[in-house]
Amino acid sequence: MYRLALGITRNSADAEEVCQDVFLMVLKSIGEFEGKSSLGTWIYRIATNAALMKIRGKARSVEVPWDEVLPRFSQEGSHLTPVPDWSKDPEAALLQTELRTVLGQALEELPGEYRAVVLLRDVEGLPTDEAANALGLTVPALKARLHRGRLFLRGRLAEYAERRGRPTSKGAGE
Amino acid sequence: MITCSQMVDLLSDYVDGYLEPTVARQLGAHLRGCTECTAFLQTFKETLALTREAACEEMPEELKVRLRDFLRNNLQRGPSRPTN
Repeated sequence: MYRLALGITRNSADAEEVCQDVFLMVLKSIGEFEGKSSLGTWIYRIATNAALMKIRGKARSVEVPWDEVLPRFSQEGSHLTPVPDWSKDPEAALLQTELRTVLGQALEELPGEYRAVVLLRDVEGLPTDEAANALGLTVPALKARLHRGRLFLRGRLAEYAERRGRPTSKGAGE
Repeated sequence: MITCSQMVDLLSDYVDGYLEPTVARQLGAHLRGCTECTAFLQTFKETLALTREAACEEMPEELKVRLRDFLRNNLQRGPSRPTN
């Protein structure tokens, strides 16, 4: 729960408060749990809502630059620019350390509602239907939000890897 | 025939195993002939792996202690609702 709260709020003091509120709420209202979802999903739902509430008043007014980061295609649907494969960088260990930092910043850029989806699915490992249930979303809505969030994170990592100037594109020359 | 743009649209469903077998085969065929999309897929998967690792922060020990004390104090105090 702490990991999720910290992931959404990006602030350890806020995450601690969320954990306090959620534990207390769960312990006091466990009798109201109706068993319509699993207990875990119910707790995830309470924790996610509490964390989103915590950041709601602090939301940045800056628009997420989706168009700048998401992939672009020609009218025929082909990639407009070469796609370097930085996943197999020879200096992987060093690059990965840097990429983790970039990823943290990119997660912070995402709106809380997108960050919550990415965290529930890709960090907590909740199945799609349970994550949708926890967030009060339909499965198609959750999948759309997850995909956009993942593409945004990948886009920011790709920008960094390309700026760093390595490796050269494996695909472009073939 | 799947385009690169359609391949990217289907990528999450592909890595999560939600694609219909016929569509997954079409996507596989596209990937075999498209080095750009193969690189895109690899870096997409790497992003998911990094996300899993990056957010693996466990609750610090001192926070566990504070949380335990907080709950003990509040639960002993009675049925007041937590403040938000």
